[in-house]
Amino acid sequence: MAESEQVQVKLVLVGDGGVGKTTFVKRHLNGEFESRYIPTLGVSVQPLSFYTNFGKIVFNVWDTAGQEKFGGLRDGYYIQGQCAIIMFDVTSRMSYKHVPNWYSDLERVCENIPIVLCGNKVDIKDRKVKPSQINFHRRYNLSYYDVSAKSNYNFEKPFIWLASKLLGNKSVHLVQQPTLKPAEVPLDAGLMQQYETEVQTAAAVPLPPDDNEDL
Amino acid sequence: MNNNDMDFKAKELQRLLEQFYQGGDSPKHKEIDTVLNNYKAQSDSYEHVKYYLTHCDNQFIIWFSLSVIEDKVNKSWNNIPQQDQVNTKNLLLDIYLNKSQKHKSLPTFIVSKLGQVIADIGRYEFEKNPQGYLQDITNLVRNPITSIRGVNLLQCISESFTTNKKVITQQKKNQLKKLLTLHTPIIIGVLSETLNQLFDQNAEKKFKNANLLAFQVGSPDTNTYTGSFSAETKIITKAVFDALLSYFSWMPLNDLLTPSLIDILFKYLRLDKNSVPALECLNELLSKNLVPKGFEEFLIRIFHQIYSLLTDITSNNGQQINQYNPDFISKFTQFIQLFVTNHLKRVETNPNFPISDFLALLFQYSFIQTDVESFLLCIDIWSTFFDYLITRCQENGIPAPTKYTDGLLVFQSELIKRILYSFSRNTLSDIDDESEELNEVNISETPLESYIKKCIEVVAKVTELYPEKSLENLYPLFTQNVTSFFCKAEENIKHGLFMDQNDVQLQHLIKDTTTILQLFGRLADQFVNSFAQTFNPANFIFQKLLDMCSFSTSQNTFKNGSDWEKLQIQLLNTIRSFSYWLSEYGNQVRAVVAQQPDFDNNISKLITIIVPLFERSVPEEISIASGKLLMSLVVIAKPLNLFTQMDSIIGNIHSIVNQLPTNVQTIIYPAISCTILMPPSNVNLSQQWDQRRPKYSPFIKGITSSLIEIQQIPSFCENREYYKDQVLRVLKIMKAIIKSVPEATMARGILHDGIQDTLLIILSLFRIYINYPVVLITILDFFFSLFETLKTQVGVVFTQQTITTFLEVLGTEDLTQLLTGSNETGISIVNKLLEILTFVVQTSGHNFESLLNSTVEYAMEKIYPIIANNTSQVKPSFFILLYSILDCHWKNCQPVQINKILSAFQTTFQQNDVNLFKQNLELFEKLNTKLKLYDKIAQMEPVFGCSFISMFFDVLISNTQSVHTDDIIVTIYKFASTNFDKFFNEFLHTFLIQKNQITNEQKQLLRSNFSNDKDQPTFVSNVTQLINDFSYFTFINS
Repeated sequence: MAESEQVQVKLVLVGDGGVGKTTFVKRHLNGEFESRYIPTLGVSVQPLSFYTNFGKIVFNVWDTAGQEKFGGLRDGYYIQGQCAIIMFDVTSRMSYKHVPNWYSDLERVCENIPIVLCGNKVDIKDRKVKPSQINFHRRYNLSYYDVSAKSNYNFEKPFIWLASKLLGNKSVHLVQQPTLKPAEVPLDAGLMQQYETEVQTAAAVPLPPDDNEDL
Repeated sequence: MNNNDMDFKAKELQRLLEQFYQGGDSPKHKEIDTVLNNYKAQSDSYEHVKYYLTHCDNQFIIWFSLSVIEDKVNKSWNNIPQQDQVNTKNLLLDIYLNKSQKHKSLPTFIVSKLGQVIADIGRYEFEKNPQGYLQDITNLVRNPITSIRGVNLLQCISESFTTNKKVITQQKKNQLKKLLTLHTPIIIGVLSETLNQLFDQNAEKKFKNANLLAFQVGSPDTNTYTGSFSAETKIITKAVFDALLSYFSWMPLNDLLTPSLIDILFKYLRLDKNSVPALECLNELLSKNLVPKGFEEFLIRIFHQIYSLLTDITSNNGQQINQYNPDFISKFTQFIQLFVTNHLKRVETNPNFPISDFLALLFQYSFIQTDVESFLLCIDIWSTFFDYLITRCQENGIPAPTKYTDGLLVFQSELIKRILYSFSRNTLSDIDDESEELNEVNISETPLESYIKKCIEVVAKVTELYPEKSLENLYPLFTQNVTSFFCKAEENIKHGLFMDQNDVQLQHLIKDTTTILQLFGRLADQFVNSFAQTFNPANFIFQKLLDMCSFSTSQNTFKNGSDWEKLQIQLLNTIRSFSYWLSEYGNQVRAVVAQQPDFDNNISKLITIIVPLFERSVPEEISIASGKLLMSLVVIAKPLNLFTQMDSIIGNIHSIVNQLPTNVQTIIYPAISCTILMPPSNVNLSQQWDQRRPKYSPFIKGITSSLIEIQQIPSFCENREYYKDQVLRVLKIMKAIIKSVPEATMARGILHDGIQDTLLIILSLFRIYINYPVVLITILDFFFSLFETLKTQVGVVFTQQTITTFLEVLGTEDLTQLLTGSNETGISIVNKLLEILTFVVQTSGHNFESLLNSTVEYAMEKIYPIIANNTSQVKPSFFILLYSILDCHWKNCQPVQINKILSAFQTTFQQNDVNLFKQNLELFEKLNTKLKLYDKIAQMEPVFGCSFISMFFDVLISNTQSVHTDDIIVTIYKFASTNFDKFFNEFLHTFLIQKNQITNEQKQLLRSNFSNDKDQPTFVSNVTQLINDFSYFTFINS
């Protein structure tokens, strides 16, 4: 595909400090890998490319500082944002409680842009914000995805949804999977085995775990 | 500085800003970012931007200028002369209210920013004269020229005055919110007034709905209105709703929600256009689970609105729905959902609510939805309603209300039609059945599978409420569709007719049959609950399932394509769901001995269905499903004579499974192991064990013998690579058998006797395969399961021997290599070892003492130095091991060991790993609950002093773990409560004195604001205040 066919989009990524914004962006192999949590200063821009049935879309992700004191130009970074992701941590109620604040800050600068709400760290067992409690997005026409930056779970979903909105609700799908870093944690293999059609009691039958996870 | 200089500066700034917003990731971009930030922080920037605001019209410059003023307002507004304050504010207001010629058409984001900064300034003005301040703004609202800006400002005030950002002191935050709450009625009043005015000017009554219901309370207006709102009035209306929404999100609704406000919201709801914002406001109200004064009247009005709208939307045979904006419909569905979830319980039994009629309308509404997503949202509402009914019936021990029976049965039938191709071919064909996704419980399924499952769950809920009637309603599905399908298939095959893989109709029939089987699998528990009443139909279904399965097995129907394969798997799974029923059947039969042969026949038949599927030519998925069915038969159904009936299979099992892949063997072997080790209940046990024990040894030896033989081969070590797969196979099967062994001590003893001679051999393999990580991890896995399950049987000595071997082998210089970042297998090996150690630490009691020192040494001297300063993935399990050591063996640890361990924890609290921080904080809390850890740390003052508590304060101030703020404060409280006097009288003072980011005056203020109250809520709010104010002071000092 010719370079000229690609669409460039500015995406603003916001959310409390430590919810995993930078790690999430860096799952994409375009960016260099950052293993350690270093609070983002001001903003860091990462281009993420996706190959869709409508051509190549490059999201220039403006990964902003979650912590006020490292804020830099703060909402100044949102200017000309065409879409956004608000991220919180499903193990921290506080970070979900702050979603409305991030939302109104965003709306003030970028009125009516498509926004996805992402609950990160769903790989962690001790989930504090349950799916049934996540309803903010419904009232404000956002889309919602559970994601896990650690296991790559649903990584591309927010981007596909945003692409579809930006292209006028077209049905967008990837024609090539993004290259992601290999998952650091597999999602719980034990749960994967449960055969969902059965009565709950029968599902409790002791079974040997499948041992086909070759290393 | 003269104007030329300023104009030059402005141009330069414009160039930088334009470059900045164009650019992406580059060093240049970072550089500009730094320049801009530095300029913002410069002392004269405030003076510069006032010039820019009057002389420039570039949007980036205006934005930048506003953000400089914003900083000034937040940091040092009170330090500038009052006249300057007034001038700046007037400058902003002039631009905001379009009085400045230079800025006639500003983009929305600039206008919004202006509003926000003006509201930020308002934080100072409002306190001095709240009424006057609001008066000015309500005047703006009432003036048609400035109305929109006034309304926007009210929204900005709501956001700015209740900010959670650390830009004002906590005390001021509290005061502002209190004062604003006090004056909110004025604001809500002017907003309602504006809405009313706009409505009166732009809407008129369309037609009067026929009075559908005579309501006892309230006088709801259910007229429909036509609006002729101009573009401008639409914008104002939207702005008012947005402002209201903002106030609804924090104001105390119980007191402030007035009937006149509700009235006007409802009026907008009945507007044929422009009603989405009103619905958004109502949804916000309903989502609060609010119970205002006179809630019954409030709910009746809500209910009546829903009722009346439902009637309208579902009229014209459902055609009317197309007149509604899809956005409205989706918000309206949320509205009903919120009502049902939060409030239905308050009105369901109230005779004033025509609940059955409501359900009838909801029924129609649900089934006229045109897209799948909206339909599923409606199904969610039903599911919520059924959950409510089920809970109510269970709690009160009453049957489900009869008034719903007929309606819900119709609903159930209608819902089933939505999952069958014979009724909903188009819808189902449109749902994606290819891309697999993980659902909430991490099971991979396609959107179509998820859709069908959701619907089946709701069908099952109706059955739970009305078992008898519902099952009667559903039987024909099975008798007519499933049985006739198989009759036809049998017929075709008999006549040699080809099963055409491309016959779409046939494919749909197969899929429908699979779905119905899935449904009956889900319903099988109902046949157990009312065994006697449902025996005949249940037995009929069971027999048919056996016949169909037998037919599929004998005809190898899977050869006809993947749909057939899925069907066969579903048949096996549905039979498996009948395991509890079969168990109940077996119990009943024991009382009526004459029926035993019949029952035994069933079991024999089942065995003859299952075993032929253990065959290499059968697809693996089918063999696995068949193996799982055997397991369920053995451990759940537990037929009386199973052991005898399985005799020849047990004898031949090794040759039966010989050719199968290892992962299938790891399912079948445990099932056979359980067949021997699980005698039926209520029989002469010792006789049973006498019969069973001799069978077990040959069975297990058939698996382990190859390991024993290999080990005796002289060239084994040289050829370890060649034997690797064989070793892995045996280990995996043995692990699976161990994990599934029944609870009974006798069973575990027999298993241990069977494998005892191989345990040392397996341990010796650990050294032999030291360079084969895959084998190492499998061996560790094996031992982990062994200790977990057969701890008593293997005994202390062997456990110690094993652990010592592991520590020796994995304690060499190789450890560094195993733990290098990219070595994933190495990390898994160390993780598994840590898990084993943790298990042994937790379960060995005093027997562990002999291993304590070597374990602590291994952890702290060998592993810790490698991982201390990086983000190694073994850290979580490493700290769980340390926790377990303290938790179970604190008394036996030497003080120096405890100090080292606690210091290691302390280090992680200072590192930026948010997940590890959280884990370790929780472990600390657990230790405190059980061992009073914080008291112990306080007693270790010479070592730790107040370092823990001051470290936690530092973490809060640095905000690096902001997602865990609440938890950290609770921990601080518990630390402080070990000695409150010391905390208040010494610690706080010493802690603050060391901080150089804030002035002495500020330190004193922080200390004096922290009252000496010892109760948790006050303490927590004191810490919150200290953190907020500390950050605020640091911010204004910077």
